[in-house]
Amino acid sequence: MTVFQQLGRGVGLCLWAVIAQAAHASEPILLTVSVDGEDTGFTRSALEALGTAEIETTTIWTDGVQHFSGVPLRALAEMFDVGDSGFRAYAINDYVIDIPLEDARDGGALLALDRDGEPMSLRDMGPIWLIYPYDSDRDFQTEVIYARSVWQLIRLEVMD
Amino acid sequence: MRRPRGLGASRLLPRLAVLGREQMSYLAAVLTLFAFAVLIWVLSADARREIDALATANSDSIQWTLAQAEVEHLTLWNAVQSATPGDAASLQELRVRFDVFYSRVATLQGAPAFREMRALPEVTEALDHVNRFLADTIPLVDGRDAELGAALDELEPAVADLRHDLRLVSLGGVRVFTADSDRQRQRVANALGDLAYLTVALVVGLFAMVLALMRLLAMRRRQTEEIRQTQSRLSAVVTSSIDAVLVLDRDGRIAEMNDSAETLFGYSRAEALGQQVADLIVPPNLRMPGTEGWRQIPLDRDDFVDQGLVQFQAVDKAGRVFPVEFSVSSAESEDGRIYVTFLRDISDRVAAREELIQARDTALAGEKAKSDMLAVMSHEVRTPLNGILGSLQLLADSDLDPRQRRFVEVMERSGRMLLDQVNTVLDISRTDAGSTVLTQQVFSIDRVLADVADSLRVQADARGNTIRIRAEPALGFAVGDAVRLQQVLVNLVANAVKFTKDGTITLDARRKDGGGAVAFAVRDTGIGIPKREHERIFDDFVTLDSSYGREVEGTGLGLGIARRIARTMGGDIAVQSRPGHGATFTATIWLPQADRSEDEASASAEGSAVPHQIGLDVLLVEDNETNRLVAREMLTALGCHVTEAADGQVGVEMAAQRPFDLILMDISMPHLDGVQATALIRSHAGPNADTPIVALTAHAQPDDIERFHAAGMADVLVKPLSLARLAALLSNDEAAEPIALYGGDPLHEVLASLMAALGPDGTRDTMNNGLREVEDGLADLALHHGSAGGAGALAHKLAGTAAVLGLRGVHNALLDIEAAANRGEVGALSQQVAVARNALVTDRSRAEAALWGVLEAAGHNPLS
Repeated sequence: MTVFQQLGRGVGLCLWAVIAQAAHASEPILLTVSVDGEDTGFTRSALEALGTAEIETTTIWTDGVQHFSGVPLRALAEMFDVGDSGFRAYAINDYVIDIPLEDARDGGALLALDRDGEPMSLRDMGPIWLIYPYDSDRDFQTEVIYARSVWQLIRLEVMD
Repeated sequence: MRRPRGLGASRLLPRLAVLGREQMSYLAAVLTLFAFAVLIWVLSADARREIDALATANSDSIQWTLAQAEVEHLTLWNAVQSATPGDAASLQELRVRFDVFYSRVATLQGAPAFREMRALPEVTEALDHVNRFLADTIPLVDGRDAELGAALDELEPAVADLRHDLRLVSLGGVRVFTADSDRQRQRVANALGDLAYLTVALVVGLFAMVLALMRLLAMRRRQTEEIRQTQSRLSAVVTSSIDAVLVLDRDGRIAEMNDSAETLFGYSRAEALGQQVADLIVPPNLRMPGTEGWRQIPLDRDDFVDQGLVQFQAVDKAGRVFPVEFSVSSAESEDGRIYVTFLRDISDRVAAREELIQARDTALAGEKAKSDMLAVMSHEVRTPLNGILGSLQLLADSDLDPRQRRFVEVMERSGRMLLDQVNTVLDISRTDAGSTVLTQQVFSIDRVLADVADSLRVQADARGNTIRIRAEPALGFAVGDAVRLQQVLVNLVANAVKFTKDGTITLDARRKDGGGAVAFAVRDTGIGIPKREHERIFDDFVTLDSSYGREVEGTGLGLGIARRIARTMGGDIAVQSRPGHGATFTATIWLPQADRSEDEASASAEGSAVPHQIGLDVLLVEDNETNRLVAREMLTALGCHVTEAADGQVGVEMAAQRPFDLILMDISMPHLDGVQATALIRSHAGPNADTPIVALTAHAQPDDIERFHAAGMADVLVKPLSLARLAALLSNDEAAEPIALYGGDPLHEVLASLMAALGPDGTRDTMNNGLREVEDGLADLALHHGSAGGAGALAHKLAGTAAVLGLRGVHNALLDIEAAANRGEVGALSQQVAVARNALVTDRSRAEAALWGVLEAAGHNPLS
């Protein structure tokens, strides 16, 4: 990235953070995205503002077809101009796993916020469960993908 | 040398759709491999399924989850222990840890992967315990800090308690999941193992196929080698064959030829190959005109292809035409039908055969010429001899003194012997030339035996020999040639007499078992015949020298003739003898027994005795002069008074004039025939209205007899007349039959009757005159230019004469001429006369022979 681009990004983010904070000062931050030591907090509204998508699938941890809606990982990847190294995901119980950039594509990982129309509480694997459309492709039915299906996601770190 | 038809036969093998053994094993191998492939596919699908199962996980790391559950429990426990009431941050931390633990347990509870584990009883119980805790604790956690803080002391041991439960769950999980893992591993291993075995089997199968193929290849190579050798052998055969070998293609062009063909036909291979075979080797004059190719050959291909050896003609380059023998076989080649021909020049063979045939013909001609010459010579010799003998006879009848008489007797005897020899030679040549015709008539064997004995008694007495006849039981009547039989027996007995002195000659006759053959054994007590001579004596011109010196005379032909005659009569002569012990000659002759009722010969054989006199006044109505003569003589011999009428009309008139005792009426007369005449006589109430009228006819069918009886005739006499029957008729002897059908040979009977009635001279003269009359008459007929009626009348007259003399052949021929003439057909006259003349030749010789025999048998000189 050029200096100008970096500068631009930084300004944009600051602005956005201010606005977001101003708009949603009372909402809790669900997800923190960290880039080169800089953290950006996202509330639910902030995340939803990035655009939502839905996935209908069964999972190995649940019974029956689940209806998830949330923010595609791709939106975050684009926003933060994430490189091939992807993210490092942290769960609330100190579970850490790397998510490569290729998972952040159309038809790929989703930061699920709602399950069956209801927001997921911590007890329900929420507030953010990084899920994949398992039923759509056998390639999503591997242990590696299951290991990346982080629930109780709290933080994404952009890797370089 | 026959050529095999093999080449041609190959196309006869049926083209069956039968798979050879080779093809069958191919099929089996392919099917087996296919089965293997299917099995492999099935098993690999199985293995793939198993491997797929591995590829897609149905759970995330089970172990991690189970371990993490315990970790999160411990974290919770820690959080509980660290929490203090009033410390909001620690309480918040406790809430978070509770939720995390809660969600983990939810996973254990809900995830399908843990179903098997959950089924374990201890796990069920443990999870229940944990869930109960969670349910109980939720209100506290969801409540306010104050309540939560207050419950901390109770909470902590409860949480601690869970540790054990979680352990149980973990251990249960471990048990279940390790077993699962193993099972899965085993399944995969099995699937892979099966797959491996099959693959090995497939590979082995492939190896086997490769081996089989190699063996097949070796066999093929061997076969090819064999074929090559066979080919080279065949090629050698063809090349070296002495016969010319040509191979023709389907158009008839020469495709191949061997060296012998080159030599035989004179064309080199270069000249001949590709040419039409017909152009080269079929003689130009034999080629079918206006054709080409195969069609030039004037033989139907089906007639000579695969039909074995055929003879034809061929021409070589030089134009020489020669006979060939060839055979053609057809075969299939890849270019179509080919024809393989073997040819050989058979001019030598043909020439040799011609020579042989000629030599044979020459030899036969020579034989015939010899025979003819003998016959002619004998004939020439006979004539002067007969003159001599005749004169001697006359001399003997004149006044002679005893000395002269002795000379005459010697001369007569010598002359007679000479005549005998000549006749014997004549007989041989006739027999050899095959002109012996045996007559078949009924005769008395006993009579013949008696005659034979009688005829040789004088000679026997002269040598002090006695002739005895032994025929018990009596042989009776038989059918055969009496004259020939007598000839044979006379021969044997005369020989026996010649070779015996002061001895006994026994003539023994016996019918053999089965009935057809009669064995005549002539046994003598003479000097006997050594064994080595037994066959030789039958040879011509062989006489045995005897110890009596020249007492034994003869040309040596007698036994030869006797045997020939015996063989002609269906038998043979055998000899048994030892020197000093006499000899037995046995003649076996085929003489079937005769039915007495057929016997007329007995009547005629007794003809030498004149029957008793029957003096009747007889009217004889007969148009044929000779017939009239014979009948008149017979009647006169019987003491009758004969009045003759030369035709029917005269007969009727005479019958009207005065009464007769008997009227003999000939049937076939011109103008008024016998039936009509009889009717007239009967209808006129004249002096002979009731006189018995007897029909004289040459043939009498039952219809005719009906007719005769209807006309008023009392009886039928069949011509030629027999003295005995005539006598029987005249004496009204009913036992003597009016013979309706006449099947035998009239000649002997005629002669016998004539002999009895007219004596030997009269018989001879009558016969000769009759023969001459017929001969002259036929000559006239041949030149006849007059009316058909005239021809018919002449033929009628001649037929009558022929009938009365027993000349049946001529008689029948003349009847044909008469019948044709009566119909007005004289166109074929000359042909018919020719037929009649031929018949006369035959009849004449038979008549002469019979006359001879009869005269001889009666002991008279058979002067010609």
